[in-house]
Amino acid sequence: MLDLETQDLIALYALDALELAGRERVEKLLEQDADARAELKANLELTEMLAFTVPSKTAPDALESKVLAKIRQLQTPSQPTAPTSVMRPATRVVIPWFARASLGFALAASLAGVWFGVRNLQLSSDLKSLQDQKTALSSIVADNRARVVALLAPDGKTVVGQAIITHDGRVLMAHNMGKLPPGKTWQAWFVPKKSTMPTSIGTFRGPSVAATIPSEVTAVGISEEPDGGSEKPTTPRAVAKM
Amino acid sequence: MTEPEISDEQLLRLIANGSEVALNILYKRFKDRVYSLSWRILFDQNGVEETVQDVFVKIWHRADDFSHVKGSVSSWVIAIAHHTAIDALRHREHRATINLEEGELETKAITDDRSNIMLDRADIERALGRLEVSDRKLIEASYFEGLTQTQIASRENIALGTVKTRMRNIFLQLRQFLREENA
Repeated sequence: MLDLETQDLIALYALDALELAGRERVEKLLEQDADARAELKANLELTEMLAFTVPSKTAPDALESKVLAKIRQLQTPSQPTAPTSVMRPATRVVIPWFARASLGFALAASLAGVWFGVRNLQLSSDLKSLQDQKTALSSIVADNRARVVALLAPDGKTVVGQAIITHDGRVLMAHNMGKLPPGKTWQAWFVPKKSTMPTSIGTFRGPSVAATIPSEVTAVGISEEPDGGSEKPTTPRAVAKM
Repeated sequence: MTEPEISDEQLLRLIANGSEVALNILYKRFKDRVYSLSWRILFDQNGVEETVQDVFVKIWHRADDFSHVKGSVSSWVIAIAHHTAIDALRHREHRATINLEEGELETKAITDDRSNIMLDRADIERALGRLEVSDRKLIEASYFEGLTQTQIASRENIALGTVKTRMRNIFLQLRQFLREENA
Protein backbone atom coordinates (compact mmCIF):
# COMPACT_ATOMS: atom_id res chain seq x y z
CA MET A 1 0.00 0.00 0.00
CA LEU A 2 1.42 3.33 -1.05
CA ASP A 3 1.48 6.21 1.33
CA LEU A 4 -0.33 9.39 0.38
CA GLU A 5 2.82 11.31 -0.41
CA THR A 6 3.88 8.64 -2.88
CA GLN A 7 0.45 8.64 -4.47
CA ASP A 8 0.72 12.41 -4.81
CA LEU A 9 4.05 12.11 -6.53
CA ILE A 10 2.89 9.44 -8.93
CA ALA A 11 -0.16 11.46 -9.89
CA LEU A 12 2.06 14.41 -10.69
CA TYR A 13 4.50 12.18 -12.52
CA ALA A 14 1.70 10.90 -14.76
CA LEU A 15 0.88 14.49 -15.59
CA ASP A 16 4.55 15.28 -16.22
CA ALA A 17 4.22 17.97 -13.58
CA LEU A 18 7.24 17.09 -11.47
CA GLU A 19 10.55 18.85 -11.57
CA LEU A 20 13.67 16.81 -12.19
CA ALA A 21 14.29 15.74 -8.61
CA GLY A 22 10.73 14.52 -8.21
CA ARG A 23 10.83 12.64 -11.47
CA GLU A 24 14.03 10.88 -10.50
CA ARG A 25 12.57 9.93 -7.17
CA VAL A 26 9.50 8.42 -8.78
CA GLU A 27 11.49 6.58 -11.42
CA LYS A 28 13.64 5.00 -8.75
CA LEU A 29 10.54 3.99 -6.87
CA LEU A 30 8.98 2.52 -10.00
CA GLU A 31 11.95 0.25 -10.45
CA GLN A 32 11.50 -1.20 -6.99
CA ASP A 33 7.83 -1.12 -6.15
CA ALA A 34 5.09 -3.04 -7.96
CA ASP A 35 2.38 -1.02 -6.21
CA ALA A 36 3.93 2.16 -7.52
CA ARG A 37 3.94 0.75 -11.02
CA ALA A 38 0.30 -0.24 -10.70
CA GLU A 39 -0.59 3.22 -9.44
CA LEU A 40 1.21 4.82 -12.35
CA LYS A 41 -0.48 2.48 -14.81
CA ALA A 42 -3.89 3.51 -13.50
CA ASN A 43 -2.95 7.17 -13.61
CA LEU A 44 -1.60 6.94 -17.13
CA GLU A 45 -4.89 5.47 -18.23
CA LEU A 46 -6.57 8.53 -16.77
CA THR A 47 -4.24 10.96 -18.45
CA GLU A 48 -4.78 9.06 -21.69
CA MET A 49 -8.45 9.83 -21.26
CA LEU A 50 -7.62 13.50 -21.07
CA ALA A 51 -5.93 13.07 -24.42
CA PHE A 52 -9.15 11.57 -25.78
CA THR A 53 -10.97 14.80 -25.08
CA VAL A 54 -8.93 17.01 -27.36
CA PRO A 55 -10.51 18.12 -30.63
CA SER A 56 -9.76 15.57 -33.32
CA LYS A 57 -7.34 16.57 -36.02
CA THR A 58 -6.03 14.57 -38.92
CA ALA A 59 -2.31 14.35 -39.38
CA PRO A 60 -1.22 15.61 -42.81
CA ASP A 61 -0.43 12.82 -45.27
CA ALA A 62 3.02 14.25 -45.91
CA LEU A 63 3.96 13.73 -42.29
CA GLU A 64 4.18 9.98 -42.80
CA SER A 65 7.10 10.24 -45.18
CA LYS A 66 8.83 12.74 -42.89
CA VAL A 67 8.61 10.29 -40.01
CA LEU A 68 10.13 7.51 -42.07
CA ALA A 69 12.84 9.79 -43.40
CA LYS A 70 13.81 10.57 -39.84
CA ILE A 71 13.86 6.89 -38.95
CA ARG A 72 16.04 6.15 -41.97
CA GLN A 73 18.48 8.86 -40.96
CA LEU A 74 18.90 7.05 -37.70
CA GLN A 75 19.70 3.78 -39.39
CA THR A 76 23.14 4.75 -40.58
CA PRO A 77 25.86 2.25 -39.60
CA SER A 78 26.96 4.42 -36.71
CA GLN A 79 23.56 4.20 -35.08
CA PRO A 80 22.98 1.67 -32.34
CA THR A 81 20.75 -1.17 -33.34
CA ALA A 82 18.66 -3.62 -31.43
CA PRO A 83 20.81 -6.42 -30.05
CA THR A 84 18.81 -9.10 -31.81
CA SER A 85 18.13 -7.41 -35.09
CA VAL A 86 15.87 -9.74 -36.94
CA MET A 87 14.50 -7.64 -39.72
CA ARG A 88 17.48 -5.36 -39.92
CA PRO A 89 20.01 -7.83 -41.28
CA ALA A 90 22.90 -6.99 -43.54
CA THR A 91 20.97 -8.36 -46.47
CA ARG A 92 18.08 -6.04 -45.88
CA VAL A 93 17.09 -4.21 -49.03
CA VAL A 94 15.93 -0.63 -49.13
CA ILE A 95 12.39 -0.54 -50.31
CA PRO A 96 10.74 2.76 -51.18
CA TRP A 97 8.48 4.11 -48.52
CA PHE A 98 5.44 4.15 -50.76
CA ALA A 99 5.81 0.46 -51.34
CA ARG A 100 6.31 -0.24 -47.66
CA ALA A 101 3.36 1.90 -46.76
CA SER A 102 1.03 0.12 -49.09
CA LEU A 103 2.33 -3.18 -47.83
CA GLY A 104 1.89 -2.38 -44.22
CA PHE A 105 -1.56 -3.65 -43.70
CA ALA A 106 -1.12 -6.63 -45.93
CA LEU A 107 1.92 -7.66 -43.97
CA ALA A 108 0.22 -7.03 -40.68
CA ALA A 109 -2.70 -9.15 -41.69
CA SER A 110 -0.36 -11.88 -42.74
CA LEU A 111 1.67 -11.82 -39.59
CA ALA A 112 -1.43 -11.88 -37.48
CA GLY A 113 -3.62 -14.12 -39.47
CA VAL A 114 -1.54 -16.65 -41.29
CA TRP A 115 -0.01 -19.59 -39.62
CA PHE A 116 3.39 -20.65 -40.79
CA GLY A 117 2.95 -24.26 -39.97
CA VAL A 118 2.17 -25.23 -43.50
CA ARG A 119 3.62 -28.57 -44.30
CA ASN A 120 4.27 -30.58 -47.44
CA LEU A 121 4.25 -27.42 -49.49
CA GLN A 122 0.53 -27.00 -48.99
CA LEU A 123 -0.90 -23.57 -48.36
CA SER A 124 -2.94 -23.17 -45.24
CA SER A 125 -6.30 -21.56 -45.78
CA ASP A 126 -7.42 -21.91 -42.22
CA LEU A 127 -6.65 -19.48 -39.50
CA LYS A 128 -5.35 -21.11 -36.39
CA SER A 129 -5.81 -19.99 -32.87
CA LEU A 130 -4.52 -16.68 -31.65
CA GLN A 131 -1.95 -18.54 -29.62
CA ASP A 132 -0.68 -20.17 -32.76
CA GLN A 133 -0.35 -16.80 -34.41
CA LYS A 134 1.56 -15.41 -31.50
CA THR A 135 3.82 -18.41 -31.59
CA ALA A 136 4.38 -17.92 -35.29
CA LEU A 137 5.12 -14.26 -34.83
CA SER A 138 7.46 -14.97 -31.96
CA SER A 139 9.16 -17.49 -34.14
CA ILE A 140 9.96 -14.86 -36.75
CA VAL A 141 11.12 -12.37 -34.20
CA ALA A 142 13.29 -14.95 -32.55
CA ASP A 143 14.92 -15.90 -35.83
CA ASN A 144 17.88 -13.61 -36.04
CA ARG A 145 18.76 -14.98 -39.45
CA ALA A 146 15.49 -14.01 -41.10
CA ARG A 147 15.90 -12.05 -44.30
CA VAL A 148 13.67 -9.41 -45.79
CA VAL A 149 13.94 -9.14 -49.55
CA ALA A 150 12.04 -7.14 -52.12
CA LEU A 151 9.58 -8.72 -54.49
CA LEU A 152 10.26 -7.07 -57.83
CA ALA A 153 7.97 -6.75 -60.84
CA PRO A 154 9.15 -8.28 -64.14
CA ASP A 155 10.83 -4.97 -65.02
CA GLY A 156 13.31 -5.82 -62.28
CA LYS A 157 12.97 -2.39 -60.69
CA THR A 158 9.49 -1.85 -59.36
CA VAL A 159 9.01 -3.08 -55.83
CA VAL A 160 5.66 -4.78 -55.51
CA GLY A 161 6.07 -6.54 -52.20
CA GLN A 162 8.28 -8.08 -49.59
CA ALA A 163 9.28 -11.58 -48.70
CA ILE A 164 10.43 -12.55 -45.23
CA ILE A 165 12.35 -15.80 -45.20
CA THR A 166 13.39 -17.47 -42.01
CA HIS A 167 16.56 -19.51 -41.79
CA ASP A 168 14.63 -22.75 -41.54
CA GLY A 169 12.63 -22.25 -44.68
CA ARG A 170 9.45 -20.48 -43.77
CA VAL A 171 8.45 -17.72 -46.11
CA LEU A 172 5.94 -14.93 -45.92
CA MET A 173 5.25 -12.99 -49.09
CA ALA A 174 3.14 -9.84 -49.03
CA HIS A 175 2.36 -7.83 -52.13
CA ASN A 176 0.58 -4.69 -53.20
CA MET A 177 -0.44 -5.81 -56.68
CA GLY A 178 -4.08 -5.09 -56.09
CA LYS A 179 -7.07 -7.25 -56.89
CA LEU A 180 -7.13 -10.17 -59.23
CA PRO A 181 -9.11 -10.08 -62.46
CA PRO A 182 -12.11 -12.44 -62.56
CA GLY A 183 -11.13 -16.02 -63.18
CA LYS A 184 -7.57 -15.49 -62.01
CA THR A 185 -5.63 -16.47 -58.93
CA TRP A 186 -2.24 -15.73 -57.48
CA GLN A 187 0.18 -18.63 -57.38
CA ALA A 188 3.29 -18.71 -55.22
CA TRP A 189 6.51 -20.41 -56.34
CA PHE A 190 10.00 -21.13 -55.23
CA VAL A 191 13.06 -22.17 -57.21
CA PRO A 192 15.07 -24.82 -55.36
CA LYS A 193 18.82 -24.66 -55.33
CA LYS A 194 20.43 -26.64 -58.17
CA SER A 195 17.33 -26.22 -60.31
CA THR A 196 15.91 -23.62 -62.63
CA MET A 197 12.38 -24.99 -62.54
CA PRO A 198 9.93 -23.15 -60.31
CA THR A 199 8.00 -25.35 -57.92
CA SER A 200 4.50 -24.40 -56.98
CA ILE A 201 3.72 -23.59 -53.38
CA GLY A 202 0.04 -23.16 -54.10
CA THR A 203 -2.59 -20.63 -55.04
CA PHE A 204 -4.00 -17.79 -52.96
CA ARG A 205 -6.16 -14.74 -53.41
CA GLY A 206 -5.21 -12.26 -50.73
CA PRO A 207 -2.36 -9.79 -50.34
CA SER A 208 -0.13 -12.33 -48.65
CA VAL A 209 0.81 -15.95 -48.38
CA ALA A 210 2.87 -17.99 -45.97
CA ALA A 211 4.37 -21.41 -46.49
CA THR A 212 7.18 -23.73 -45.68
CA ILE A 213 9.76 -24.13 -48.39
CA PRO A 214 13.11 -25.90 -48.63
CA SER A 215 15.76 -24.18 -46.61
CA GLU A 216 17.83 -23.50 -49.70
CA VAL A 217 16.08 -21.76 -52.56
CA THR A 218 17.37 -19.33 -55.15
CA ALA A 219 14.16 -17.37 -55.60
CA VAL A 220 10.55 -17.06 -54.56
CA GLY A 221 7.85 -15.42 -56.58
CA ILE A 222 4.22 -14.85 -57.41
CA SER A 223 2.49 -15.29 -60.74
CA GLU A 224 -1.02 -14.62 -61.98
CA GLU A 225 -2.71 -17.77 -63.18
CA PRO A 226 -6.11 -19.05 -64.23
CA ASP A 227 -8.26 -20.30 -61.38
CA GLY A 228 -6.92 -23.58 -60.10
CA GLY A 229 -3.33 -22.65 -60.81
CA SER A 230 -0.82 -23.82 -63.40
CA GLU A 231 1.98 -26.30 -63.59
CA LYS A 232 4.42 -23.56 -64.58
CA PRO A 233 4.19 -19.82 -64.06
CA THR A 234 2.51 -18.32 -67.14
CA THR A 235 2.32 -14.70 -66.08
CA PRO A 236 5.08 -13.89 -63.58
CA ARG A 237 4.24 -10.83 -61.53
CA ALA A 238 6.82 -10.71 -58.75
CA VAL A 239 10.11 -12.35 -57.91
CA ALA A 240 12.58 -12.11 -55.06
CA LYS A 241 16.02 -13.54 -55.70
CA MET A 242 18.11 -14.73 -52.80
CA MET B 1 -13.45 -14.73 -42.67
CA THR B 2 -11.84 -11.68 -41.14
CA GLU B 3 -8.23 -12.05 -40.19
CA PRO B 4 -7.52 -10.85 -36.67
CA GLU B 5 -5.59 -7.63 -36.45
CA ILE B 6 -2.04 -7.76 -35.25
CA SER B 7 -1.87 -6.36 -31.75
CA ASP B 8 -0.07 -3.19 -30.75
CA GLU B 9 2.25 -5.24 -28.57
CA GLN B 10 3.16 -7.51 -31.46
CA LEU B 11 3.89 -4.44 -33.53
CA LEU B 12 6.19 -3.08 -30.85
CA ARG B 13 8.10 -6.36 -30.79
CA LEU B 14 8.59 -6.11 -34.52
CA ILE B 15 9.60 -2.47 -34.24
CA ALA B 16 12.11 -3.41 -31.57
CA ASN B 17 13.61 -5.73 -34.14
CA GLY B 18 13.82 -3.07 -36.79
CA SER B 19 10.65 -3.47 -38.81
CA GLU B 20 9.75 -0.23 -40.52
CA VAL B 21 6.59 -1.84 -41.80
CA ALA B 22 5.46 -2.41 -38.23
CA LEU B 23 6.31 1.18 -37.36
CA ASN B 24 4.26 2.31 -40.31
CA ILE B 25 1.27 0.32 -39.10
CA LEU B 26 1.62 1.71 -35.60
CA TYR B 27 1.98 5.20 -37.05
CA LYS B 28 -1.28 4.81 -38.95
CA ARG B 29 -3.03 3.66 -35.80
CA PHE B 30 -1.86 6.49 -33.59
CA LYS B 31 -0.94 9.38 -35.88
CA ASP B 32 -4.17 11.32 -35.49
CA ARG B 33 -4.28 10.96 -31.72
CA VAL B 34 -0.64 11.96 -31.38
CA TYR B 35 -1.17 14.83 -33.80
CA SER B 36 -4.34 16.02 -32.06
CA LEU B 37 -2.79 15.93 -28.61
CA SER B 38 0.33 17.70 -29.82
CA TRP B 39 -1.81 20.33 -31.50
CA ARG B 40 -3.83 20.85 -28.33
CA ILE B 41 -0.63 21.48 -26.41
CA LEU B 42 1.42 23.43 -28.94
CA PHE B 43 -1.02 25.18 -31.29
CA ASP B 44 1.73 25.47 -33.86
CA GLN B 45 1.88 23.57 -37.14
CA ASN B 46 5.65 23.30 -37.37
CA GLY B 47 6.05 22.46 -33.74
CA VAL B 48 3.37 19.80 -33.94
CA GLU B 49 4.91 18.13 -36.96
CA GLU B 50 8.32 18.11 -35.31
CA THR B 51 6.78 16.64 -32.20
CA VAL B 52 4.98 13.88 -34.07
CA GLN B 53 8.24 12.94 -35.79
CA ASP B 54 10.05 12.94 -32.46
CA VAL B 55 7.37 10.76 -30.91
CA PHE B 56 7.76 8.04 -33.49
CA VAL B 57 11.53 8.25 -33.37
CA LYS B 58 11.27 7.67 -29.63
CA ILE B 59 8.96 4.74 -30.22
CA TRP B 60 11.46 3.34 -32.72
CA HIS B 61 14.24 3.56 -30.14
CA ARG B 62 12.28 2.57 -27.07
CA ALA B 63 10.04 -0.19 -28.36
CA ASP B 64 12.23 -2.63 -26.48
CA ASP B 65 11.51 -0.81 -23.22
CA PHE B 66 7.77 -1.23 -23.37
CA SER B 67 6.27 -3.47 -20.75
CA HIS B 68 2.59 -4.28 -20.54
CA VAL B 69 3.01 -4.24 -16.78
CA LYS B 70 3.28 -0.47 -16.97
CA GLY B 71 0.14 -0.09 -19.07
CA SER B 72 -1.26 -0.55 -22.53
CA VAL B 73 0.64 0.36 -25.66
CA SER B 74 -1.93 3.05 -26.20
CA SER B 75 -1.21 4.64 -22.80
CA TRP B 76 2.49 4.34 -23.47
CA VAL B 77 2.31 6.02 -26.86
CA ILE B 78 0.11 8.81 -25.56
CA ALA B 79 2.43 9.32 -22.59
CA ILE B 80 5.39 9.65 -24.94
CA ALA B 81 3.42 12.06 -27.09
CA HIS B 82 2.46 14.09 -24.05
CA HIS B 83 5.97 14.25 -22.67
CA THR B 84 7.39 15.18 -26.05
CA ALA B 85 4.86 17.92 -26.68
CA ILE B 86 5.24 19.31 -23.17
CA ASP B 87 9.01 19.30 -23.55
CA ALA B 88 8.62 21.25 -26.78
CA LEU B 89 6.26 23.65 -25.08
CA ARG B 90 8.56 24.22 -22.15
CA HIS B 91 11.46 24.66 -24.49
CA ARG B 92 9.55 27.28 -26.38
CA GLU B 93 8.42 28.92 -23.16
CA HIS B 94 5.12 29.56 -24.73
CA ARG B 95 1.87 29.39 -22.95
CA ALA B 96 -1.16 28.98 -25.09
CA THR B 97 -4.51 30.06 -23.84
CA ILE B 98 -6.59 27.04 -23.20
CA ASN B 99 -10.16 27.18 -24.21
CA LEU B 100 -11.98 24.52 -22.32
CA GLU B 101 -14.91 24.77 -24.67
CA GLU B 102 -12.90 24.33 -27.84
CA GLY B 103 -14.10 21.76 -30.25
CA GLU B 104 -17.34 19.92 -30.39
CA LEU B 105 -17.86 16.68 -28.63
CA GLU B 106 -17.72 13.63 -30.76
CA THR B 107 -20.13 10.95 -29.75
CA LYS B 108 -18.53 8.12 -31.63
CA ALA B 109 -17.06 5.40 -29.49
CA ILE B 110 -13.35 5.42 -29.00
CA THR B 111 -12.29 1.86 -28.75
CA ASP B 112 -9.10 0.19 -27.91
CA ASP B 113 -9.85 -3.49 -28.03
CA ARG B 114 -6.21 -4.33 -27.59
CA SER B 115 -6.22 -3.06 -24.03
CA ASN B 116 -9.82 -3.99 -23.35
CA ILE B 117 -10.75 -0.35 -22.93
CA MET B 118 -14.05 0.71 -24.34
CA LEU B 119 -14.55 4.38 -23.87
CA ASP B 120 -16.97 6.90 -25.16
CA ARG B 121 -15.66 10.38 -25.51
CA ALA B 122 -18.88 11.76 -24.13
CA ASP B 123 -18.50 9.53 -21.04
CA ILE B 124 -15.06 10.94 -20.46
CA GLU B 125 -16.29 14.48 -20.91
CA ARG B 126 -19.13 13.80 -18.49
CA ALA B 127 -16.69 12.43 -15.94
CA LEU B 128 -14.47 15.47 -16.34
CA GLY B 129 -17.54 17.67 -16.16
CA ARG B 130 -18.36 16.27 -12.75
CA LEU B 131 -15.13 17.63 -11.35
CA GLU B 132 -15.19 20.96 -9.64
CA VAL B 133 -14.40 23.64 -12.24
CA SER B 134 -11.31 24.63 -10.31
CA ASP B 135 -10.13 21.01 -10.22
CA ARG B 136 -10.70 20.55 -13.92
CA LYS B 137 -8.76 23.70 -14.63
CA LEU B 138 -6.01 22.46 -12.39
CA ILE B 139 -5.58 19.14 -14.12
CA GLU B 140 -5.87 20.66 -17.57
CA ALA B 141 -3.35 23.35 -16.69
CA SER B 142 -0.98 20.61 -15.79
CA TYR B 143 -1.72 18.22 -18.64
CA PHE B 144 -2.19 20.60 -21.53
CA GLU B 145 -0.18 23.65 -20.49
CA GLY B 146 2.68 21.67 -19.06
CA LEU B 147 2.79 23.56 -15.80
CA THR B 148 4.76 21.92 -13.05
CA GLN B 149 3.39 21.58 -9.56
CA THR B 150 5.42 24.61 -8.49
CA GLN B 151 4.13 26.70 -11.36
CA ILE B 152 0.56 25.66 -10.63
CA ALA B 153 0.95 26.57 -6.98
CA SER B 154 2.31 29.93 -7.95
CA ARG B 155 -0.32 30.67 -10.55
CA GLU B 156 -3.21 29.51 -8.42
CA ASN B 157 -1.72 31.06 -5.34
CA ILE B 158 -2.05 27.90 -3.32
CA ALA B 159 0.42 25.90 -1.28
CA LEU B 160 2.52 23.27 -3.04
CA GLY B 161 1.21 20.61 -0.71
CA THR B 162 -2.31 21.57 -1.66
CA VAL B 163 -1.52 21.08 -5.33
CA LYS B 164 -0.23 17.60 -4.63
CA THR B 165 -3.21 16.60 -2.54
CA ARG B 166 -5.71 18.05 -4.97
CA MET B 167 -4.12 16.25 -7.90
CA ARG B 168 -4.31 12.95 -6.10
CA ASN B 169 -7.92 13.56 -5.18
CA ILE B 170 -8.75 14.56 -8.74
CA PHE B 171 -7.37 11.26 -9.97
CA LEU B 172 -9.36 9.36 -7.36
CA GLN B 173 -12.53 11.21 -8.29
CA LEU B 174 -11.99 10.66 -11.99
CA ARG B 175 -11.57 6.95 -11.46
CA GLN B 176 -14.78 6.84 -9.52
CA PHE B 177 -16.69 8.96 -12.03
CA LEU B 178 -15.49 6.88 -14.94
CA ARG B 179 -16.51 3.68 -13.20
CA GLU B 180 -19.96 5.17 -12.71
CA GLU B 181 -20.20 6.44 -16.28
CA ASN B 182 -19.23 3.02 -17.61
CA ALA B 183 -21.55 1.17 -15.27
